[in-house]
Amino acid sequence: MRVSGRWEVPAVECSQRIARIRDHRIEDHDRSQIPHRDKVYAEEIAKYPDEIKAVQFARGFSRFLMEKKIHLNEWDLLAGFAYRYTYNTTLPVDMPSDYDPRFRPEGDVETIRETKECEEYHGLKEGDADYENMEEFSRGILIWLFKHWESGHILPGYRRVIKSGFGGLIKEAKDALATADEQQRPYVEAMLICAEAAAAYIHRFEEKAARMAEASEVPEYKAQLEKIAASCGRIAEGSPETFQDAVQLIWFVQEMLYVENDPASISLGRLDQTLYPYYKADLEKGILTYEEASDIIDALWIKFSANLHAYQNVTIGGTDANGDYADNDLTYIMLQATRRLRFDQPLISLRYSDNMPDRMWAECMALLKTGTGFPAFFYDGAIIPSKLKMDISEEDTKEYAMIGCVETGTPEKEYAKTEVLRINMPMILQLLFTHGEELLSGERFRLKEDRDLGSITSFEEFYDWYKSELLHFGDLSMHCVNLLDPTVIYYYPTPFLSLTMEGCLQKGLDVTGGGTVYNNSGVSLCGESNAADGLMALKKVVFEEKRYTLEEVAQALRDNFVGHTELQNALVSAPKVGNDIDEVDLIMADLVAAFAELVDGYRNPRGGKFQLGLYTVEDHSKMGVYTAATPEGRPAKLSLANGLCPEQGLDKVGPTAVVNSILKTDLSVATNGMVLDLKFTPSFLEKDSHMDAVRSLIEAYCQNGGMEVQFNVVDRATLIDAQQHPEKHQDLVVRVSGFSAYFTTLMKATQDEIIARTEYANM
Amino acid sequence: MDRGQGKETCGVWMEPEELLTELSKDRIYYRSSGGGITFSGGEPLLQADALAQMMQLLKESGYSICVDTAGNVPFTAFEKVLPYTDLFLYDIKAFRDSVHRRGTGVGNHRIIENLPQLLARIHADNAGGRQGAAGVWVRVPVIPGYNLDLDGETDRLGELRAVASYLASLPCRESLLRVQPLPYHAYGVGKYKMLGLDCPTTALSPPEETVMSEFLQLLLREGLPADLD
Repeated sequence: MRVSGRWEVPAVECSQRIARIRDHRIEDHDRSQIPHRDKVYAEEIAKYPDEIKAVQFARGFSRFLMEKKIHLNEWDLLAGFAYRYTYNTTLPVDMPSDYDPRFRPEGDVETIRETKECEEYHGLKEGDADYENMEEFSRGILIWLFKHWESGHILPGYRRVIKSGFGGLIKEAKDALATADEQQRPYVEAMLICAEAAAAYIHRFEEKAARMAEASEVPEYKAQLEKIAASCGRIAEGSPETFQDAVQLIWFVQEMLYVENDPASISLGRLDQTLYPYYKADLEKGILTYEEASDIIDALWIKFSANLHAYQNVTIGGTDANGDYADNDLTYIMLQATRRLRFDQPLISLRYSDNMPDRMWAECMALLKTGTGFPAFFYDGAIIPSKLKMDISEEDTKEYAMIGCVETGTPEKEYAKTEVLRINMPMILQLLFTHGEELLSGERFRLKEDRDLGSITSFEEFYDWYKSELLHFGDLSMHCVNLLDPTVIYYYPTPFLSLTMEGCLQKGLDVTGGGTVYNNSGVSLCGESNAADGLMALKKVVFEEKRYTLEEVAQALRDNFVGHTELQNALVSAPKVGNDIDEVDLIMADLVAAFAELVDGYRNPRGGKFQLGLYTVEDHSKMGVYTAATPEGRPAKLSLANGLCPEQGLDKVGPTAVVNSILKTDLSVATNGMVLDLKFTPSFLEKDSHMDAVRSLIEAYCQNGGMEVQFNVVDRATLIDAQQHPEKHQDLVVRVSGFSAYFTTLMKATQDEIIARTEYANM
Repeated sequence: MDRGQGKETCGVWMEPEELLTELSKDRIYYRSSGGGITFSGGEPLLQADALAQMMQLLKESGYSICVDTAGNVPFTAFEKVLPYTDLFLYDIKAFRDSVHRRGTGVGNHRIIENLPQLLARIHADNAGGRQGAAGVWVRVPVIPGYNLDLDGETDRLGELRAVASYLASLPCRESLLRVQPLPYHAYGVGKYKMLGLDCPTTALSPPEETVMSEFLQLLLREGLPADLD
């Protein structure tokens, strides 16, 4: 019999001083800082025309840190404020004088510009094979056949910084400079400039805090400000001495990383492990309590959340070098902070293992019940062995943490470029019906083997053809991504990030050029279950029942099923992924395995591997909007399936059937992460026996090959109301794919997609 | 953007082997949760022979099996399934025959007699060295107007008090593993609709939390292993 009270957790409430900070949290946003940053960069680039990009950017970084507004409010516990100075795109190489980054394409990458820069870099001209490849790739990106993103998505070396302090890194850089050759010298210089700039930046806060402390007439605030001033004084060059020092230094590193040109998901790694020694030391000295540490973490969490749409990911839990579960006070403090504050950030990623204690289960379940979608569960037992296959050292695999959504990496040693490519599987299937013509845009793509539909006489023939085209587009796009790869260090290096990463100073090489220990690239699939469902539908309706021909299906796709209701119904009635039906589930398994094999053979120019991802961020909606009608009976513009999940609403047997279906795919190939999303109503999780059931579900999933699982706990009525009356639900946070977001800020297609996901109210 | 609706069929004939295959799909969850297969209904013991045959087949695969019964069958039906049952769920809706009859249309004589016999039998099986059933969970649905707040009675919980006394008087109480009061809910209304029938309890509301707590206390005071999930 289970112990009663096993799911009980302490109640959590914000302290008064935290409530005050929380309520003022986004007031410091100032969008005029954005063009200011780029203007400074542009001026420094113009001032040093003969320097390499890394040095020019370092000078821009350095000057901007001296000029930018710094934030410290009278009531703050921690100093600073971060927001993204750039969006989802790289900085243009030739910035016009009137360039205003606030008017960059809305969330979109500047593909055309990046392609031109790449062609220029390689000296490609019209008629060259690779020129044609890059042009095709670029067109594919514009209509969402592919997605390419030189995004942040990194696990910086916070531990390196807190271990040495910037003073230590300055010394390390100067030593490296003494032995650097001509090639290495400018990169080391750039890192040194950044290190000195960082120290100077922190001194600005020391000075500001001291001034404000002097002027403050509120004793409580005065004391806090004096503490901040002293802390900043210590950590400008030195290593942290207290818990608050360590947190404050990590926060400053975060701010500065966002100043540099690397937006999106700068992830904190195993923060509970990183900060624990400082917490423990302070506790033993009697200068810190659990409650005070909770306030500091709350303050840090508030700063993370004020950095809008930044997907900052914190990893907690996991096992230590001996395999014991590594929960500590901070693990619980962090779970409780998230439960208290309920923001969309930081993302909380839980490293789960079979020996996770009951107390962790209780805290995690209590957090899941808030509906924010945290924590997502990542299974040590699946991820650690899979990373060994990626040539990560055994010691390093045990330190893995989550980046961005659900990708895994080694903090401070891995530059994984996790979002560098995503491929639209259902769109490729549609291209087979139209000799390579994408139906919504009219763009044409070269099939490896263009065929007449009438010539195909068996399902096996058609299936093999699709697989071959999928691998062809995979090959084309990975090849193009490799062409883009060397342009990054040339055009968009990141010297401050490189300073923090292990190996860059030593090698005298920016991280974008392969300076750190592991230098990989990530490629993800989108619409796996749509493709499997589509192939299954064709198998049944065209080849087995012979009710329609492939040509008739082609016409129906062109017409978006208008006037083809019977055909559409026939396709929709075929078996679907997610219902524990071997026939269709094994199609998905086979496609993923085949693509994984292709990926396994690929290398990038930095000596690293490609890693396969089975997650989609928000791209399942975006790609869906651009994808015409597809053979599973899906009408044009409807969202594709989220991650590796079944098509929304088409899993009709229950969560155990969904899990069974997913487990038929070998998930160990997903070394760039995967998403399995399950949705429960909040009322379902009110009962102890139901929480026991969810726990059993997770345990069974992981013990039988599962790697990642996450939960959406919000009822349909609330979501529909939030769509209709967003002003009433501004604080509603939901799980999207590998991240959570404020529901009312999502595009309608994504909102619809989340609503359409199946809700399990009975197990 | 409608994918279209289908027809809904509830209920299907299955051969034992077919059912075994279907049930085996969830085996990894039985293992991780310590759970298994529950036969419910309707009244599964009305098909005791077929049920026993199916249970024997499932036992060969090592599954844990539970039988959910209202108890209104000859004891011989219990005997047929006892060798393969790990747990019984047993409904007690009322103690007084008249109250039971008013709510279900039949008397509860057999139900009241079978339970002590079942407990004694389980106890004997386990004491005799054979690996018997783990025991019995008794479930008491709490339904306003039917065993709560009865017309003409001032004691709201009168019938439930009688149920509690009855349970406390049972022999071999160590095999009575759990007593679960279950509040009335309206989820069945949909089923009536689907069958084209009028639901006789649409006017009912679930009992208040305070009433459920009071009943729980009553049971606990009798030393019974009661809980509200």
